[in-house]
Amino acid sequence: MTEDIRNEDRFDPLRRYVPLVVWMLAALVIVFTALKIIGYGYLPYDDALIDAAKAISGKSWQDILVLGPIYAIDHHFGWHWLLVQIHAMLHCTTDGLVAFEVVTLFLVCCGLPLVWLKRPEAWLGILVFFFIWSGFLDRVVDGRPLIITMTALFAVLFLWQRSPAGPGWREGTAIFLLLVIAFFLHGVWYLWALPVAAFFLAQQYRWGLWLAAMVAVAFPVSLLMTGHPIELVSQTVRLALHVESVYVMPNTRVHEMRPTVPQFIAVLVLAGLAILRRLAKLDALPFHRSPAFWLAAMSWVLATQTGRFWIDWGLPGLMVLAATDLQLFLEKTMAVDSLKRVGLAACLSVAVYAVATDDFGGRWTHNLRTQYLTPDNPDLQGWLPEKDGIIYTTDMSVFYQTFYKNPTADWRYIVGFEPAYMAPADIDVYSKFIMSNGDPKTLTPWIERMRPEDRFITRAPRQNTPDLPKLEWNYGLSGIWIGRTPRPVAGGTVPPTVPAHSERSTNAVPAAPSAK
Amino acid sequence: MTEDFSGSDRYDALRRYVPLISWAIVFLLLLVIPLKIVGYGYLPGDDALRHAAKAVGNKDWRDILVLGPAYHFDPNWGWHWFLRQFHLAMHWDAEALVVFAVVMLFVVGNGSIVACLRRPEAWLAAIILGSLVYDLSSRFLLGRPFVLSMAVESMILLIWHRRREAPASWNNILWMTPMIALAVFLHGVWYLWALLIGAFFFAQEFRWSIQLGVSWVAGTFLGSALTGHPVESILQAIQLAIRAVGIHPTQITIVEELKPTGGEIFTLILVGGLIVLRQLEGLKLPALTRNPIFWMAAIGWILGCQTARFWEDWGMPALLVLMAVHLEAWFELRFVVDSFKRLALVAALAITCYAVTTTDANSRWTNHLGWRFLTTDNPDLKGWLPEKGGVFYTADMSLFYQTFFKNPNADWKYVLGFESSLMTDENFKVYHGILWNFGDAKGYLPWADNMRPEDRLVIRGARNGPPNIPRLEWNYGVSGIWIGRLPRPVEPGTAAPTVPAAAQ
Repeated sequence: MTEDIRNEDRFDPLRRYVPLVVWMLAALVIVFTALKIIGYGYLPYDDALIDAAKAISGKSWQDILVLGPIYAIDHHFGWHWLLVQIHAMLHCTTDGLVAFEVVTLFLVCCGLPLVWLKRPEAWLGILVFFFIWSGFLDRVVDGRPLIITMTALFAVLFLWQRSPAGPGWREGTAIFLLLVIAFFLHGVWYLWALPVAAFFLAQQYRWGLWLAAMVAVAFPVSLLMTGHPIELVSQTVRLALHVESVYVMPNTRVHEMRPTVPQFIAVLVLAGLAILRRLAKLDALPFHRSPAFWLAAMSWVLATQTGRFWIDWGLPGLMVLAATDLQLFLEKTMAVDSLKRVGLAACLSVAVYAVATDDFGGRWTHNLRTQYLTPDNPDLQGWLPEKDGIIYTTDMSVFYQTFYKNPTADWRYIVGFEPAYMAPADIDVYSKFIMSNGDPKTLTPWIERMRPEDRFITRAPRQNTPDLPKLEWNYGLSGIWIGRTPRPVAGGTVPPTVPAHSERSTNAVPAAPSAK
Repeated sequence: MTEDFSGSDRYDALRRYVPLISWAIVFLLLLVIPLKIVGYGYLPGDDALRHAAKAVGNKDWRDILVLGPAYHFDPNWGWHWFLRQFHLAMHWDAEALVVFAVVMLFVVGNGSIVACLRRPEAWLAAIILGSLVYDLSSRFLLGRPFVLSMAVESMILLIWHRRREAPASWNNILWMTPMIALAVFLHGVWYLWALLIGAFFFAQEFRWSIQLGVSWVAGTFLGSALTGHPVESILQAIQLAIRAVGIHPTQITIVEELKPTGGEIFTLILVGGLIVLRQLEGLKLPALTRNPIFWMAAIGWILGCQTARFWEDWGMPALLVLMAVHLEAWFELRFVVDSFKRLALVAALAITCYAVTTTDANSRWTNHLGWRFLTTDNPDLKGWLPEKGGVFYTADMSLFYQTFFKNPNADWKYVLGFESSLMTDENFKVYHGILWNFGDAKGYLPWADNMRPEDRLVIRGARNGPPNIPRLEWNYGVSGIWIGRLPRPVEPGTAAPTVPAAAQ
């Protein structure tokens, strides 16, 4: 072990505090990063919004969406239950719940690995590197329960690194509880076959068997906690069989389920680790004996079919692999109480904070410009759906944003968070629209079904009135057109709609925020 | 040391020319590259145009822009004075001045750095890597005086590298002070030199840090004094920097080069590559943590996560210097100074450097050939350009750059110039509202309300429809540009003053 003993005698009494200071720096920077990001006014763009709205609405998904027969029970029962409890305790709004989701899940996922590492600065180094290129940062501020699953995966892989011979009762209990929580809050228990397979491929049979057993026990426990064990399993299986027939082409899937080109930089990372191991002569387990490596490799390949395999399973694997190698390197080059550790941790903390809170491309502030459809906007009077109406749209973001701002509204949405849950006839219309690159003609079945209380909502610039002349249109908000079935105009009264090209009181340009 | 002795005895007499030829190739290349690019007809997209126009027009910025309270003094006084001298001496127009600025800054900037190296080919290799990863050549060819600051920063770092093993001499102040003074005079932004002092400090080069600090203070006062307004120029530079960033509540509406970089992953990869090179080849170079070049790159990289220019103007040049000194050490280890192999290496690097920098990928050197300028000599624009004393309203900076460039002596003013923080508070509020609302035509209404008959509102847009501001009459002036003015009274029996956009 290399030691830096020169000229530091007078600082020797301070050395005992080095590990503590490094830990505090690492923990603090993760807390401040989360708070800074949410402090921008950041909102995720998808599921976190509707999870919060669902918790506040007190309604079932059947009362929120026009659903097909495949959907019977809330697939995120546990997560919504948790949010309902928090809402009941804190009486927070949807904004507050989303902030809670984002901050808590970020802290859990980025902070908990510090517990399992002897050198927390190694984790900071990994965060800096992976925040920049991998999409991990975007994922970990999503505010979605999948982050709990990622955290459990980190736990399993880090604990394996600490006790490769097999888990003790403490590790076993911790992993069991994390698995139960992950299954209860997020589901997707079946994908844990991937880490189990990774352990077997790495010839870590003891851990593989043990993890498989844990999954097998934790799964029914989590099902029982939902109160609907049979329905949930049945729905999951039916959905899995149904999805293949729904998604004729990959481009009709939601973005994160589409195939991706595997990230080339992941290969560079592996090459870099191999070089580091060789140059620094690290006493690391060969790649092929590491389940983290196998998990990353399998997920990298599977991402060619569905991108989420890589981002949710492969990236954590690669991060654990890199973090443990970096930790070995740091242990070899710096004593545990070396003052240089403080300098390194300080530099890495600054880098983590700078890289993560960097508002690159407006990623943390883009939503400040979002305009929402809300009934308290006088410009929209008469243009939002009426009681028991349906919002027809092909744009999921319309659902996310409108439900988020109107959790208790008494209308439903034709498209929600997952097209596969739609009624078969609606899936057909939606798929044809996507496959035809947005040809309005494909929407005819919906237009013909529309009732006076329903609305069609689509995004287009002010000058482009949607090409659906059976409806009358209003340029509701910047970039959003609302269509409804034409209203009879009483003689001598003003038509209910105003030409889009005229200057009028609707669609007022919202005031931009000013600098503080 | 590796040597190439094999069968080359009869050419031994020629070996003495290898260093000379190498230097000649490199300097020739540094001249040929900008000439080739300028030969495409290349024009930079931003400040170089207004610098040249300012030098030609020789008007005060108050006569060119509608300025707010933040403006007191030309922030680029030295550079404009310098260009003005060439305009007067050579009678060059704005275009010739831009060409001169582009070529001169590239040659002087790179040439001064190369002069500080023992192996000039190392800089070629660094330029190649930098161009592939960062589109570096575009930055070097913007024709803006920041290239001089980049060059001075790089020279100071390289000279430190040469002398790092000797005790830091106070004589360093004698050469650093005039260099910094020159950079401050021609470029301004005197305060950013504190970054370089910080880099030396973090590298524990405390004597150099102090000497640089003294040179900075002296150079700043000297450079500012040369403008004739030493106090105002120093104070205004700080005020403008604070206002330019602070006036925008989010990064969304700020100009591109002040936006964050998002971190540059290839920077980490390049530094990783250098570390591997050091280890594998056993290069005798100072540890990175004791190297101010590394610290300058690191500081620039971190601060670039807030504002890209920290990285582009300060961090990236330092990284290039870091690469160059590593490659130089490697070349010295692998190639004898008068080796023919070295000559082959220089030739190969020169060809690659030429190819990489002059390639017109994505039309980067020729895209402006499609620009359409608003000029008074265009008969289609008669009556559609601002009149005497008029104001040119626009929320698009490129319209200011291009129109001022082509009309340096025009007698109208622009509501938006090269820096939105110089606008009046009311105009900035309107400008910000337009950007915030994705250019929605309604955002322009406060300007439209204030317009006088001599003013014009200019907006980029496609021919298929004028901007949705029907209180103005519109003309599709040149391709992609709509010009609006207050409606003119039409005398009975005369044609309408505007032509429908759909008409051919």
